[in-house]
Amino acid sequence: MGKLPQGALEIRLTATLFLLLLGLADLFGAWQVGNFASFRPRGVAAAVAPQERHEMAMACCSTSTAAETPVEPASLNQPTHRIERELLVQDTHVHVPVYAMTAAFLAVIVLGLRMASAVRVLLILLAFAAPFADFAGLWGAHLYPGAGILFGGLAVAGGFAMGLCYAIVLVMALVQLWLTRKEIAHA
Amino acid sequence: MRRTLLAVAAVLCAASALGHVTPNVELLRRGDFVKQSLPGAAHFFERQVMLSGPDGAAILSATGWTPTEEEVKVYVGRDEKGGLVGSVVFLWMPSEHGPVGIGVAFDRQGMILRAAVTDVGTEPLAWVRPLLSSGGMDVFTGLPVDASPDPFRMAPSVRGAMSRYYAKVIVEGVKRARALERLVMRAGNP
Repeated sequence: MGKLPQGALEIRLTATLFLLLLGLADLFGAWQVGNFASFRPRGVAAAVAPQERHEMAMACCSTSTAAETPVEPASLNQPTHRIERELLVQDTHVHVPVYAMTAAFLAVIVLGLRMASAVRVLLILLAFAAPFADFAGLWGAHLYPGAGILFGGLAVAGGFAMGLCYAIVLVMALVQLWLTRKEIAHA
Repeated sequence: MRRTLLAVAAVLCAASALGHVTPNVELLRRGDFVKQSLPGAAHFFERQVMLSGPDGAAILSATGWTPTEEEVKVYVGRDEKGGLVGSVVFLWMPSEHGPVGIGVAFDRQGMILRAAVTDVGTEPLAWVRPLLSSGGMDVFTGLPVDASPDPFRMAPSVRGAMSRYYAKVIVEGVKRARALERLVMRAGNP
């Protein structure tokens, strides 16, 4: 453990490029979240809240009734983003494995960096706990809309925890692999 | 240099991608679909309907489905004198990989003028697009009021199992739209 800074050029290059590419993916992920979800607990809760169901039929009435309201076709052109439980199931089964692989790769880099064992343990726990918190928050907000803001906050915290873990690993990797490498080697 | 690195890291940290739900891909804008499908209409209206118990039971019996206000929207086009030109039903169909948005336009007699997939998720798009690019939606145009759409006649050259599954989803959506259109247009009329 902790030998990554002394690793061959291609090993250090692999770790660095992985981290930079992951950062790029994070930036676009953030854009996606801004477009279709939110960075605020209330927004997350609203985005994944269960669909209300108002049936168009009423057992009590014997005659169907209709009313018409004028509408401009252009006003219908606003995109609609529909989230259903099935979609949340699908996205969980797609995103959680990707999150797990990301956490595992970050953990491998953490194992190669020089740091105290306690910090290493903390970073690894953070990398794996973050996605759990993120999706626990999304599902909580969907299943228990009454506590939506609380669960939305958990989802946002999970997302930022992953970002924090990534940022720490990135900075430590860049510093140890490229900036202070000689100092370490001479020490 | 370290300051720069810290600044970059802070930005990336703030921009972390928290879990998000995959968005729909909008294939066709609803307003454009309404206008293009009912070119003779001068005025457009949203038709809000409350179905009676018997009508609700009829649609449940015909399609196995209970429509809700959240998943269905009905618009009608009228000419300058207020005469009915046609109607358009938009609805969401649930599927294995997220909801599929479907629009069906009808003439004043209830014959299908045009049907389209308006929205679909990024993943099922790969299976739905071959159906659309093979002219699969044309099978609904001019379908007589009493004829039942057949998923096997929709883009038969497209053979993938998932595409065939989505053909069934789309056909089921058109069936629902047609069953609902009859009741919605009859509602409120003596």
